[in-house]
Order: sequence, then structure tokens, then C-alpha cells
Amino acid sequence: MGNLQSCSSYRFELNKPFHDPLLFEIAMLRFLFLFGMVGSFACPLFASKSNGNEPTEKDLYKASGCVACHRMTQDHIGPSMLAVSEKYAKDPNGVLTVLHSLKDGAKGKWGNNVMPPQSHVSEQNLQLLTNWALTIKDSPHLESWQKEELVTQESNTVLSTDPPLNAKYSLPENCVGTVVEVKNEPIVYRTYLPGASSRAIAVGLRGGISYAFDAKLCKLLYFWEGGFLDFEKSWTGHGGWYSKLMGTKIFEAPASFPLRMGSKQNPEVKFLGYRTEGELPSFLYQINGLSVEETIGFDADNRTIVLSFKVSDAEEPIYFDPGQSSSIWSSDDAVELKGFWKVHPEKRKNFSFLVQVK
Amino acid sequence: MKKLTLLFILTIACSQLGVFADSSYSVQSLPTPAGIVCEVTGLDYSDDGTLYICTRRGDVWAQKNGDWQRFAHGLHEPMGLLAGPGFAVVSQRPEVTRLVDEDGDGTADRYETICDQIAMEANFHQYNYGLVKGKIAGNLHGILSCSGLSKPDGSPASANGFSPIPYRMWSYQISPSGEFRPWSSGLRTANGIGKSPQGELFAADNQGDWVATSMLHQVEEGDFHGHPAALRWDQNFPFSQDPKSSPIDLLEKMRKPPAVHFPHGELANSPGSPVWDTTGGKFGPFAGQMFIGDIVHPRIMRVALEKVNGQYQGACFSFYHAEGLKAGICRLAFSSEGELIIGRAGEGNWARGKPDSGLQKIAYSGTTPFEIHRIELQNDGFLFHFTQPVNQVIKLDPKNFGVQSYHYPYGPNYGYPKTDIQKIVPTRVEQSLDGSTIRVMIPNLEERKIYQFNLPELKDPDGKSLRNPVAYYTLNELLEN
Repeated sequence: MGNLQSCSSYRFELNKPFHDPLLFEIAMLRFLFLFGMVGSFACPLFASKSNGNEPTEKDLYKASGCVACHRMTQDHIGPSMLAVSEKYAKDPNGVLTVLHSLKDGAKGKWGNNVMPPQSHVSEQNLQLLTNWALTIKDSPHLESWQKEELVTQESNTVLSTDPPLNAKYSLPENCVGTVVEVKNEPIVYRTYLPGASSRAIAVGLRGGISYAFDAKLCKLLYFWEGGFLDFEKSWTGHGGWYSKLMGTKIFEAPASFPLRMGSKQNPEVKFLGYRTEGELPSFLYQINGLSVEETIGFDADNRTIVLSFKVSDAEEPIYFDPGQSSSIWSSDDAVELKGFWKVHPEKRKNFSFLVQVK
Repeated sequence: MKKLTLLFILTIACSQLGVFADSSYSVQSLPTPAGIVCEVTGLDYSDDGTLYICTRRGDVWAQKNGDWQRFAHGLHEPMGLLAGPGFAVVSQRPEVTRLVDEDGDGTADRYETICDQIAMEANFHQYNYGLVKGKIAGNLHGILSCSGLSKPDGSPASANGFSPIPYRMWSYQISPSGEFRPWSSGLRTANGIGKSPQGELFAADNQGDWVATSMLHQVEEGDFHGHPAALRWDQNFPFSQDPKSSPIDLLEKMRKPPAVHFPHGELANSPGSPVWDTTGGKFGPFAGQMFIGDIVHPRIMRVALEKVNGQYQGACFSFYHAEGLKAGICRLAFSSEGELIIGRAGEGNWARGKPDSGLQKIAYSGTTPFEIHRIELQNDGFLFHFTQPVNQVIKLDPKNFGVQSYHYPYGPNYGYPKTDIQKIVPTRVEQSLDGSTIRVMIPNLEERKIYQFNLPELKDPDGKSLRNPVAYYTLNELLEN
């Protein structure tokens, strides 16, 4: 069964279904009631195990991050596994088509969202996942997966299959075990992130696009696509470790700090916090004592990152350093000089820079 | 099938009321926001009666009139919370943060950095425990846990405590302007900090290297509480080499002895944060005394302190154990109705195999329990005060007082057992005329010992036994003559 080391880390959540014996009782009673006839007592919240101990393709589907965009029976960021099997199971080229999409990425087959190449998954596992995906429509667990996902959507949570005991909450994210994904509103989550200082902040935007902001450096670090985060190493076991990016990086910000006030190199930055009530979260910090509010967005149609800055009381010229990479930057609020941009004086209080992403 | 379902539901509903009781105290589980892993690591009431909790996974939830609403989200393992009207302050790994609801919709929309001068890195043990207001308005206090030694994959390589970056293993103060000030040193991993009604700070360190057993410290500026790894950041420390290799008698002279020891294994393994009974009698006859829970044992302890020669010492007792109370007890708070609200956090390795988190409460029935109220040190022994008079018909026999003394060594080992245990027969035991106190005279009282008492034979006039017959008195200082 190939490279499934990462699956074992899921066993912690898998084998300890409920944290409250009361919820467990209620859940078991429902399952008995619904599935007594069929004789299936497997809890559908977790991967059905063929022989009880071996990791299954469903474990692999979770461990590889597929779950971030592809639910089992309900369309989400990507088509459901059920929809994929319905489309390709009877197609003689079905296996090759799906395998190709996984390896090279896909766009336009199921709508506008893009699936990046699943380069983090081995060839062998991609084959396993493809073969398994086409069997979903004929699976005996289909009904239980549907039940679970419909209740999930209704209650906005997935740790329990029961309806909430209190009033339902409208939360902007979904949580499947330790995997968090964004629905329609952005979410902000402080956690340890790879390639960041210990003061890292992850922001999840809609459409499976996320970015990392460093609260020590007060700047964008990188963007990734394909999901948000898996908090397994932060929340379970001994905790206190890095969360895992779901998906692949699509942009690395320049290492240098982007703004220069006047001619001062390497400005002193001080992080002040962030606000969440706008359409996008915005970060508040000071550069050499000047207050800055930065908003970071993503234009999905044009695959463009938008950095918007509001600088209060800016009396000196403001320069923007796009760094050394081959990224193509543009701005209506600044003029490009040799390797730097100079913000138009009248735009200093509110200016934006855009950069194209592949 | 439907009738069976209904029967099951009714049974479960009844058990959810879950009131397990003795005649004075009962415990009940409280509903938490459904569908989340609710490891409660912060618990406070705002002035308008709203209950705020924070969870280890980064949420803050507010409960008003029984309904939960998520107030904030995405914090980095908050381990302390203070509530105000429309805002909450949390201690999370990277900073102490104010969460403000600017537009009054019940959720925070501004996450303000109060202080981020907290050195931290990816490490399984670097918690930022909190949080209390200091004596002067605007000051905040918390504690930075030790760092653990981790393997490249983040899993623990050692159970010992380290201080690789500034002020880990120190308590701290944050001024109103957000300045971080190291406060006291040598706390291995004191999970939480509390402020007494007199405005004094206390924290309970957890057993580990250099911490023989879990112990309660009064936390004052400049104190050294015992773990030498913290001393590398102390500019006044005379030795320039690794403080852990300093002579132990030097470290022993420097350290402030703990006010109370909690015997490991039998009372507590991993205490949380203390609270004081300021309910004015609504929670029973222990007004002004301290309560503190344990992560590992389903137990809440009670502490009765006194000051001898200007230093705190005193007795601890089990207060409520099992009988419906669950483990993972991390934070406590008293409600305005005088109930003890219990926040539990027990997932992952904190759970020791039994996942346990959520909220419970203990309520007082109004029936005075028969308990040792407090123990007062005398020149020649101890004076026991009881909540009810002791039955005077019983002839008291000194042999039945189960007295023993021992001490916990101070040194680098990961915990020490009770050492030099001596069984003691009091020279005399005398009951007061009204039966409410008993004098226990001990030959050769010694300093720096724990005196343990086991009094199962005492009864009140109704024939009831002591609700908790075991007491542990930490004797640091003898009375000056």
C-alpha cells in the first residue's frame, strides 16, 4: 500500500471518535437505528477498514489532501468523488484522464476552479487513488457518506454527526478532524507555519487560496493553493508543532521588506494586530512609527495577488521593492523606476500593487 | 424501533443532567458549543454576566443566557483569558492579545497586540499561561512555560525543562503600555496564575525535573522558585556557567520555598490554576480559601493558607474527587451564583489515554459539610479548626490521628518520593469545650517538613464522618517565640 506513513498520524483521530461519552451513546444509537438492518456498525465518520488495521484508500485520500476540495458525495471546491466516478467509471479512457489530471493539474473540466498538479503524491498512490475514485458510485458506504455530509453541511461542523445541542452557529470554516478549510469567508489562523518565523499567521481565502503572513517581519511570505491547513501536529499528540499546508505553493514573496519610507533602508517594523470585519482581513503595523494597514487579496479570474496599503500621515516618498524574482508586478498608483516603484504622492494614503501568479 | 430510540434518548437525557452528589456538593456537566473540541484553557465572567472561555485550539466563545456564540477564532493556543464588556484579553503563544468587538455584533473584529515581546519558537512545551490583572490597574501577569527538548519531527526528546530563549520559566508582568517585564524565575511549567482577594499572585508548578512534587508558590517580584535553568536570564545570578551545575545548597538558599506541596500521585500530578472563594458563603464554609484542580486526577483540591513569619504556608486537602467530576481540570472560576465553574482540557498527550475536555460545575447544597476547615500552626503542634463541632462523646486517641512527617528533596531528578517518612504519635490531643477545634501536640516539630494527618475516626454530632479526612500541612517556618 505504498507510502502511507502519513496515514498513521490520522489514526489518533480515527480511533478516538468522540470526546464525550454522551455524544458517543447518541451517535451509536442512531447508527443502530439506521443501519441495524444492513448490519453495518462502522462509524461513517471514519474510514471503513477492510480488515481493521490497514490504512485504506480513504485514509490516503485524506492524507494526500484531496479531502480539502473533494467531498465524498457533495460538490465542494471540486466535484465530489461520487461525481467523478459517475463521469469516468464507464469511460474506457476514464482512468487515464483522471490520472493525467492529478499529475498535471486540471482546469475547466468541472467549472472555473483549478486543481493544481498533485506533485506531493507518489505515482503509485495517484494510481491507487484513481482506481478507488472510480469505484465510489458503487460503494456500499455511499449512503452513510451521504448522510454524514448532509448533516455536516447543515450543522457546519463535522466532529459529530449529531445536530448541535444548542443553536446552530454560522462558522466560516469547515473542520474535518484536524483539516480546516475555508467556505466562503476568509479566516485568519495563527499557528507555526513552514518557512515562517514563529509569529506566523495563515489566512484562508475562498477558492482554496491561502497565504502566510509573518507578524515578526510584518510582510507576506507566500501563497498556496489547494486548501488551507492541517493542524494535526498543532492540536494532537504533544502538539506545539508546525501545521501543514494543504496544497502547493504558488507564490513566494520577495525576502526583502516591500516598503521604503523616504530613503530609509530596512525600516523598523512593529506589529500591532489585525482586523477581521472587512471583506478581507487587514494587518496593522508600524513602519518607523508610521501606521500601516495592509490588505492582501487574490483575484481568481486573473490569478493575481493584490497588496493594498493604507499609510497614514505619509509625508516622505514611499517606495515599493518588488524583489529579485521574475514575477510581473503592476500598479496604477505608482511609477516604475529602476528595480523600484515610487508611489504617486497623492496615492500615498492608499495604494495597491498587483502580481501575477502562474 | 422508534420507541426504543425514544427510550434511549430519555435515558441519555436523564444521565446528561448527571448530578452526582454528596449531601453538600454536587457536580454537573455543562453544555459546550457543539461540534468543537472544547479544551477549556481560559475561563472568566465579564461584568455583565457573560461567560467567556478560550480553547486550546484557538477559539474564544461567549455564553449569554445559555446560548454560545463564537467571539474569536484562530488564536495560537491561548492558555489564559480575562473578560471585559465587549472584549477579552488572552495569553497565546506569541503574544498577549486584546480581542475587541468594535461593531457590537458579538464577535471580535480587532485582534490587538498588547505585547509580543515574548520569546517563543516551535516547541511542544512553550505554553504562555495566564492571565491575571496585577495590583496596579492595567498590569497583566502570566507565566512562560519551559521549553522541551524536541526531535526534528517535533516530538519530545526529553521530559526536562529548558530555557533556550529569554525568560522561559519566568513569570512576567505586562505594563499598560505593553512592556514585558520578567517577574520571578524558576517555574518549570506552572499552568496558570491566580490572584488572591488580598491581591497576591499564586501559581502551582507541576512535578518534573527540579520539582519534586507539584507545589504552590506565592509569586512575588524577584523570587526564584527552584528550577535553575531559568537563572541564565537573571543578571544578578553570580555564576556564569550553566546554572544547573551550580551547587545545590546555593540554589536551595536562593529559592523561596513553596507555600504548599501537593503529594504526587495521591493528590495531584498536574495542577491547573487557583481560584479563591469570594462567594460570601454561597459555596459553603470556605470563604477566602483557595481551590485548584488537576489535569490528571478528577480532583479539585482546597488550600487553607496562613502566614508564619511573613511567609505563606499551610494545609491542602482533597475537596472533590471523582463522583462525576472528570479529569483534565485546567481553569476554574466562580459564577455570580456561587457555583464553581470548571474548565477542562484533556486531549492528545494531556489526556493520558482518556480524551476529556469541556465544562462542569460544582454547586453547594446549603448543607454544611463536616470538614477540617483549616490547620493553625502552634508552638507545640497544630490547632485543627472544623466546620462543624466534633462529637465530644468520642474519646480522642492520639494514635488515631495518622500523623506522619516527611519532606520532598530539592534536586535535579524528575520528581522525588516522600523522603524520611516518620510516623508520629502526638503527645496529646485536646478538644475545645465547644468541640469546634482540636489541639494536636507534636513532639519535636521540625521546619521544612510536610505533616500529614489522616483522621477517619472523627464524627460530627450526627455521626457523619469527615468528608475529607486527609490533610497535608507544609511547615516551612516554625513560630518565633
